[in-house]
Amino acid sequence: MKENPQIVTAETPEQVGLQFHLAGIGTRFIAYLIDKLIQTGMVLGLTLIALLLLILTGKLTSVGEFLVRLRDSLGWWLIAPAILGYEIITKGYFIFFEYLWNGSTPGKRSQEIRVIRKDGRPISFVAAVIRNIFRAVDILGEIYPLGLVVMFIDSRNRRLGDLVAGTLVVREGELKPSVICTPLEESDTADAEIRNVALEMTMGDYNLVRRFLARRDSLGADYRRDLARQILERVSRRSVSIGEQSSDPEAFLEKLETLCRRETKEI
Amino acid sequence: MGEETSEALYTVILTKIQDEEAKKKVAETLSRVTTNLPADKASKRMESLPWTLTRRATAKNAERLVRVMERLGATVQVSPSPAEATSPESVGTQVVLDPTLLPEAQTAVSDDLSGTPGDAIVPASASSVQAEGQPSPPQQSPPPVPPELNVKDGPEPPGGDGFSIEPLSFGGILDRTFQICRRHFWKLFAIVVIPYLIVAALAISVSIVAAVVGFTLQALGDVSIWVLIAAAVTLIPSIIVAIIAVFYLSQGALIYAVSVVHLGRDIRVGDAYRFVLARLVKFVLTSVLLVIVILAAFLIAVLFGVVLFFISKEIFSSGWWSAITWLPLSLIPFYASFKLLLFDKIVIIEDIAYTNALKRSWDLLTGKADGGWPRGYFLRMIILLFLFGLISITIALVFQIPASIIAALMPESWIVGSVVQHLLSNIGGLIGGIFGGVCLVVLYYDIRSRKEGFDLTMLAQQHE
Repeated sequence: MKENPQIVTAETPEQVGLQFHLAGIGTRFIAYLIDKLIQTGMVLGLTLIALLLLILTGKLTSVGEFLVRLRDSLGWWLIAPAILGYEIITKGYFIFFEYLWNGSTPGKRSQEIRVIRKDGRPISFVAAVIRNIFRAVDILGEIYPLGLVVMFIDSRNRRLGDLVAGTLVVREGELKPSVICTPLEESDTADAEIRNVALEMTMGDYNLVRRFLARRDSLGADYRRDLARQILERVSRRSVSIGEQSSDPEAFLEKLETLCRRETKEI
Repeated sequence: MGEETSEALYTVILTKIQDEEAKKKVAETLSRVTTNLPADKASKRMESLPWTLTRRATAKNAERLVRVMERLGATVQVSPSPAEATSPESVGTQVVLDPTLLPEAQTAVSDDLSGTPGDAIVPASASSVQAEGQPSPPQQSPPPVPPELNVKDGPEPPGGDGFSIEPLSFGGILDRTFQICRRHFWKLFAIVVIPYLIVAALAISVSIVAAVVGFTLQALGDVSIWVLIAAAVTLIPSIIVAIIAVFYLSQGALIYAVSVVHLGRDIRVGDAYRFVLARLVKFVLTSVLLVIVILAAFLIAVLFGVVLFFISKEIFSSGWWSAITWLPLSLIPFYASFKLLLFDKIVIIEDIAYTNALKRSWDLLTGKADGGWPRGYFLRMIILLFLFGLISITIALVFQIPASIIAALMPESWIVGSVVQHLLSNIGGLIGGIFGGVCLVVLYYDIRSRKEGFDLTMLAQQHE
């Protein structure tokens, strides 16, 4: 495996290189908090349902007395099955979802990340079990002291469980803002000014125009106007003149983007 | 040409190939009709099907592609592309003119067959496909391609460590924070630890000098009262001011250093301190102004509370009914202080000071961001601060656990245990402070990128 700070290339057994964006520590932390909230909600919900059922069936007192007798006979050992039950629910939650949801849990899915094996294949059941059993080592008091240190030191953001199970947490995909441009009319296509500028544009210029058009609605009015002018100045730097089109830089950039997109060779 | 922009687009996925012979033919055909895919790479890529050939084929071209592939012995699946995949945003990554620039597998093929934009192939021209497939209605030949389109030319806005400074997701802000801390940990740590070292050095020096000259607290009684007053008036305030200045310098240097590395440049500790030195007076005075504003907000809240007390006394015969307004009123100074929290970044990075800095911080934290929850900038900051509270607890635990173990192992020398515990918890606090500081700088740039297009401005001003 070779990698840069964010991208890891996994070589599959078929010798095909697959590139993945590593999930960051922050994203993983948020995903964990969401999962924790869900788990807590589940435990509280189940407890409430059980209590409600006991109240409705009138067995609350007898169950309470049974628990008191159990405590008298077992003492503090009564806590052991409670801890065991809690661990089964919490670890089981991760194992269940990671195995069945292709490396995702509800928290991970909300953050668009998932667990894979280091060769790029989906996580196996055994790997899911191992990485989640090691949560007990990574986590102390529901937070990640050791896990955080290991993730911070490891260049691939792996905690101990990942290192032992041979897994990675990667990002699913990126959010792509949409660009809404007015359709290019035939007369615009024929516009020599736009064509001249388009012919001189680099990929960097094109990307800049595209990004601006995608995000312009979220920009402040003054910044939007200034930025459109600055970008127009940049993209038309090699052209002799952009003439009257510069009076409405944004409209010019729209046409430019549409023309460039059209003129590139793609299906 | 005009009608193509509004046309629905389709995803074409190669799912199966009959045999090796068919694979060879498909690879050759694909390499012939594309600009970025040699036959050997296509062949290699076909070893792990399914393969998303394109997600942006027009109906006509998808049909052509299907015909060609099926004739060659391949099975393809066609489905309408989702809006996101068809957005022109993804076009940029699919416009591939230079084959050497595409990584061998620019794909993160997920199991649900959704490829990344980069895994599309780009036929050289529609006419090539036609030659292989069925005849189709005559088309206008495409206009010339812009000659210098080159993905090497700044496809990403500048940012450090391969990170772009484009608007980040909420998790992305934390990711970036951790990444900056990891890559520049020792420099950032050196910046924040310097004031503590200076204070410690001062304290040790004073103790040594006092020990050498035999000065004790009892000896203070022999010193003239006027000398003591003069010392109290001059020396003590000077020391306090100097220490405050050093701490402000450190905080400013941290902001500047993070800003520099976030934008993709390297920084030296000395340079960071030198840069902030020029803005130190503005920084300190704006901080004083901030304290005054927060106190004013507090006084306003108190004033409202008193007024409401008397109003409720008139209405309900008991003023204590106004107690229900105390909680919301007490939030006023907190709200004001959080809204002004970016002032230090503004003073150091933008050189805007005093009321302008406070107003700008307020403006930056007003409004909503595009994207997922939390959308409000203010709420984002509050939640980030909460998360960093949790992370700081985690970091503190990292240091407190070994400190407690050391203290437990040395029960007879409690002084050593106590010193170690104190030292480690201070280090933990410092590191937590670094994370918090970095996070707020990243948030500041994120807000600027979202509201002001800061990243785009940098790109627009970037020289070729």
